[in-house]
Amino acid sequence: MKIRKLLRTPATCSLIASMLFVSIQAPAMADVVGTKELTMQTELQLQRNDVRDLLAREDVRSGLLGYGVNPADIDKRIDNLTSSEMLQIQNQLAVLPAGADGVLGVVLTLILIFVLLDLLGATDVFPRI
Amino acid sequence: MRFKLVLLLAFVSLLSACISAPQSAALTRQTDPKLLEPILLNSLPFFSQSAYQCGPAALATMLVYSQVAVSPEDLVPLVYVPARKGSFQFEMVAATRNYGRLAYHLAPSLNAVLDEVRAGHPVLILQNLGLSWYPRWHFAVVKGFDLSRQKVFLNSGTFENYEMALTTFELTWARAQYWAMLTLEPGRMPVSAEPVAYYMALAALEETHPRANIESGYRAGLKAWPTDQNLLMGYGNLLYQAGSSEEAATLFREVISYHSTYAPAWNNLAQVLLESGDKAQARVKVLQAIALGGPFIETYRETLMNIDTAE
Repeated sequence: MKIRKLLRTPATCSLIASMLFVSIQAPAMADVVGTKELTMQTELQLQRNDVRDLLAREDVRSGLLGYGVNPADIDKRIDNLTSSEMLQIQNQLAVLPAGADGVLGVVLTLILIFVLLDLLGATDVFPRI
Repeated sequence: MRFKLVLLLAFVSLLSACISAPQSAALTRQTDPKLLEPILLNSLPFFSQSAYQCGPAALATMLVYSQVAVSPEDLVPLVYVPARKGSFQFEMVAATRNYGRLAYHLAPSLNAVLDEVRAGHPVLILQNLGLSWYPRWHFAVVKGFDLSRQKVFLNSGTFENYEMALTTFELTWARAQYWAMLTLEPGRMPVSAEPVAYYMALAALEETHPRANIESGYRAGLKAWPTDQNLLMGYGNLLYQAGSSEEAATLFREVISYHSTYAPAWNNLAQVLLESGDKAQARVKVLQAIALGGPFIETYRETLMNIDTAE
């Protein structure tokens, strides 16, 4: 029931609110696929690698297990995270010294929200969880 | 008594655990005489900083060295935030691009910094001269080092050729998450460059400052990594934008020859062929892109539509 408590915290609520307004990217203009779009794609790939590295961290793994979430389940779904979702995780990551409980909590919260909102049907980030 | 001694020892060992500088320690064991030779970039300019303005002074040092005519005063409005009595890293990056220079971030490695200095590239670094819980942020420029004496030479604050112990340098730099950047004229390659990081730096410069000499940047990158997918593609796009369709087509074909499953190259080649009037070949290429699919599939379908509706 830790998760239910987590969902009620103000920080979590504002995170959920901000995520619901994540905009959908307009399709690229016709003719060629431009360098800007390609760069965004590369950026996305780099972000995914960073989130994967994060999930490989021992403190993060044990934190997720503490919430009853199997890190392997999340790992499979990283490809479905949008750029802005990963940015939110990464921004927290940037200020996350190894072993700092408070901030790690926020990062875990973000990861869990991306899973939980799917469960509630509010988003479709992780299909068929 | 003995208990107190144990406590003291425990405290001392705790302290030393806080101040470990593994990279400096590794460099101390260096014995290669070529690497032990001291280096100092004498031609690096020096601007003594005014109160708190280490950011503008350090960035001006870097930019003037890379042939930009600029003074710290010119940079103050771009990178100095009076309320914070300092500058942010992203403003330093943005200002670098604003002057048409490539902002290349180094890996968090002392070796990378030393290699760059050895190659004649001064390195802009961020330090936390205080402690993690009591930070004193500071920008400075690494201009030399002497490994046999374990020293780094900096133009820092109001000091030219400031000598800092290598260990102290590593500790203060580590507390700033090893932030280190080069400001290079496009066409000059960082010696420690990685292909993806280099491409991203170049593409960012192209997007924010398209009139910079981006073409030299692509050429230099492709000289280092002739088959790199991102660089070939980016150069092809640049040529296409400039109206050099035939050369662009050559580049897109090259991407395909090395990376045949990379759909955007098939699509862009199709577009160039369509514009040159070769509808049949354009159609073949774009069908390949559609078959490969991926995040830009809508663009490929539009290209196909354009081919089918073209006169």
